[in-house]
Amino acid sequence: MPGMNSGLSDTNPTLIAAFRAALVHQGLIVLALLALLGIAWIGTREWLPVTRSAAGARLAEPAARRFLRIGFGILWIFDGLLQAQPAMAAGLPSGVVEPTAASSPVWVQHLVNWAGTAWSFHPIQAGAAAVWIQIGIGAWLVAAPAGPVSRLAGLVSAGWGLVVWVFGEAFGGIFAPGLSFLFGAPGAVLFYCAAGLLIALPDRRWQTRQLSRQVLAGLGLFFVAMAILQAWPGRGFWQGKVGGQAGTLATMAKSMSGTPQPHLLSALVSGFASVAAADGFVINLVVVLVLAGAGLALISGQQRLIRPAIVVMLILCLADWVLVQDFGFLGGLGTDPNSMIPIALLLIGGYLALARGPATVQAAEPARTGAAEPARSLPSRLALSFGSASLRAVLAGWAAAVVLVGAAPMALAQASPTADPIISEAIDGSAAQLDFAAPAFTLTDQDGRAVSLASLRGKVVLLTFLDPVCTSDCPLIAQEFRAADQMLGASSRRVEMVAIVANPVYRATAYTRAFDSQEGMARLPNWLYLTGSLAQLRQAWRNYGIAAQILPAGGMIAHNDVAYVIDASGRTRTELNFDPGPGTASSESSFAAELTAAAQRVMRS
Amino acid sequence: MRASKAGALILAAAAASALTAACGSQQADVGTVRGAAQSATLPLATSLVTQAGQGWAVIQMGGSTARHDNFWELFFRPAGASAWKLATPPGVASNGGLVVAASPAGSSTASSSTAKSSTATGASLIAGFRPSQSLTFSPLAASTDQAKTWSQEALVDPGLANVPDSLAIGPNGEVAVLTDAGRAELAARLGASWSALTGLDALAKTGAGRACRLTALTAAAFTSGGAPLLAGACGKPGAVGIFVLDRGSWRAVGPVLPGALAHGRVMVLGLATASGRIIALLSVRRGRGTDILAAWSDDDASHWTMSAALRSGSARLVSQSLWPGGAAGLVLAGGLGETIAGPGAAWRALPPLPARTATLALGPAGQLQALTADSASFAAWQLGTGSAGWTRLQAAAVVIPYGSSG
Repeated sequence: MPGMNSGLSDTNPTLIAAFRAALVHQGLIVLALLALLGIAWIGTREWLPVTRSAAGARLAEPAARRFLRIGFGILWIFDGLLQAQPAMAAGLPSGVVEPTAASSPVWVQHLVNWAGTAWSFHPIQAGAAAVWIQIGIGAWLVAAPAGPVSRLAGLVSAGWGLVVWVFGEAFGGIFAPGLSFLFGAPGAVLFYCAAGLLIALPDRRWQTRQLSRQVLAGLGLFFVAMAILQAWPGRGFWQGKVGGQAGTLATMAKSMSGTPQPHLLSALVSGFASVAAADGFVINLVVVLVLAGAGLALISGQQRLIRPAIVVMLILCLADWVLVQDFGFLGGLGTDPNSMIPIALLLIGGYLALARGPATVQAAEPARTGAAEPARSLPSRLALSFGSASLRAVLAGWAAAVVLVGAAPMALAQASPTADPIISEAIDGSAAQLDFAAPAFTLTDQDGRAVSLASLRGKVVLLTFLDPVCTSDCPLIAQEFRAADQMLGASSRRVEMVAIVANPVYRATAYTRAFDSQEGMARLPNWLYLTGSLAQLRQAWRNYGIAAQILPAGGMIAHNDVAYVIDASGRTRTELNFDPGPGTASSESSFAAELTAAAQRVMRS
Repeated sequence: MRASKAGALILAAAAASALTAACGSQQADVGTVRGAAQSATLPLATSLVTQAGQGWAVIQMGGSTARHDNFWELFFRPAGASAWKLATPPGVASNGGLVVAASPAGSSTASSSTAKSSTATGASLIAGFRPSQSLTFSPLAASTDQAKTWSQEALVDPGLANVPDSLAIGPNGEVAVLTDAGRAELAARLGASWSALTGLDALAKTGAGRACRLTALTAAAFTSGGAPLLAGACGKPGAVGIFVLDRGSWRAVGPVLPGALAHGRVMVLGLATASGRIIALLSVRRGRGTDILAAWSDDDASHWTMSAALRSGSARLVSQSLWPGGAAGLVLAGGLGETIAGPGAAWRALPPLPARTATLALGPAGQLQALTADSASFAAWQLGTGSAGWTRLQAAAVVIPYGSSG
């Protein structure tokens, strides 16, 4: 029904089922890859004369690097699992990404919405890609302890983090008002990027304490900047209440406490909101002093100041994570645990690098055989290299393959300019295949000429019913017909696009012409918008199952949205429910594709 | 780290955070009644009375405008009756707004008209629906039988401007409209093809338009002789933008403001011709406050009589109604109501209006009424004699089609 708000819910069962199926399908591929690699590796080691060459003495991985690598690897895996929430495929653009950008400048919104639209054209592939890419990166980081493969994992982590920061977090909200360390500024994933870049650094950079000092000074600088921002007057943080309303911090905590979560947590966050409303000044003063003090201590580079500063900052991070950020992922569609955990990881990593010092030299394992290597073919050498690789290296290779398992289908899907048919199917269900003589009609087109269905024999007719003064659905349906006409390309010459007026009141040709002009339909040579007397229209509505109901008090005409495909011999072959849903670019494209496919099917048969 | 390096880093951090704070602290500009832009916006709530004594009122009801749950409704009061009934023309969503123009049905006596003008032929009332969502033109519905039946043959494309006087009927059935695109168009009768009268840009370039530095068109009407009248907002202080089409060219015919108001910027809020008398409502913006004046002309805008200025301060205009004899009623935000009876009369402050008064209207014997709308509840209140207070005459529930336009 026009205007009856038949949108596309992120809990749509069709989409959720398709998302689950895609995850299971790709999950099986991931497991199969693991099994294949494992069998090949074990088999190679068992049946080929695998040797392990003496690599010479090598540096043990510094504790700080290992901590960051494993810590952020686990975070990525956790984020990947969060991406597997059932509502994520349909809900991420409208439920997470676009609201995040809503208070940012228009150019940020455009950028983010562009990405959201790209996602919404292929929601299943995009949702599954996000799952496997993040799990793959995480596993890669955890599995690859050293060498170029490990550094590449860091680089991939930083690159993907940047993508998420820009398109998923709208630059972490740095261009939006209300920026605060407490709320997650400048975006959690920016810290993933920083950690990834650190992991990607050459081994020699980890051999001195300079790197740890730079990391800690960088964090210190960030904390001081955040302290100044937090202390900036007029942003609502100094007042627990402003004009009788809760201040900025209390409002944030209150809203977080209202999200679905265990009662105990909700009560805890709600309690803090009350405290923040009562003692906003004191809380903000403590936050500003801790941030500034810890920041200056970290910048100073003096170890006796750094240790307590890190302890105090970790306490602040933990308190903020629990009381303000509400663990980051609870309620709604959480995509990560927010900023406090990555900040804490970086702090601890920086401290470990400073306290534990540079890496130590690790003795190499002796070679298994000392016999001279015979000359071998390239495949043999590759097989031997594979067999001599460590288990971790094999797992790292598998993890990199997991990233590709996620990314490849999405990349392939993006090559198509048309949205997936799953969207229209999720909104309106599947098309019904029919085979009966289409009821005849003779009506008047937008130019005043009589047109009968019989006069269109020889062409496939795409038939729908539109209200010329409709404010919502009918213009969308017209656009979907127009897009279908373009998708049909040259074969559109064999198709007639026909709409019959679905308004018992506004049915003059002046209105069909105005509608055509409004929707750009007048440019389509194969477009007919038919009207007639009320009796003629009622006959056509009855024959095609259309109920046009006048609503009182300024309501639009309510009628069912449906499209029929009538073949060249005048038989009705397909009926499509055609409620256009939310009218987004993706739903419009999906419906047009569905209509095009139905027309092509009938033309082929 | 050396102290100088640390200091530089802190300064850099301070600068960065200051920049970020500044970026995030922009405030949105919130306006009230403004008409300086090309398409002026004025409240559409209004009421009118025909010569036969029928009352019509336009009121917004329902819920959120942002969610298209608001619905503009047309109410009709038969001559001699006190009660109002819903008369919104069916078949189209009214979320964008409703504009009406009336003339006494079948009347051939222009001098007896009490609406914007009278018509010898054609509709007694035309309702125009403003664009909404994807609808970019304005469907029109006309009735000659007191809203019993409507005909829907004509439309305005692009849609009607967002002002209550964007639609006018002339004494011989001509129809003039102001469109969203800043154009004025004329049809010999409803349903005949539209021809361009002028546009904001074209009118602003004429001598008359340049003299007032015309910035917006806000009202269309006809003189009692049938000449099209247009009104707007002027950028030149003290100039009143009322123009008549005289032998193919536009001539400025607005009144001259008294000295104290001559430095204010004037926008015509409403313009109508009733019983041979033109009435114009003017807003004069001076400093932070606004004055509202009524101006009347009994000789097709050659000479004008001005009312005293009503200092409305910063109170937002909620509704304006122009009635027979040059009377007018205003609703201002904060429950304030003002009326003026005609030339020579003074503004009369009404007792505090009933909550959620949408517009003032006249009862069957000219009694003052306040029409209120609260979601789906409509009520009519009448002012007691001696200004004793408001008494509720009628309460009615309207079946609002919530969700039908979402």
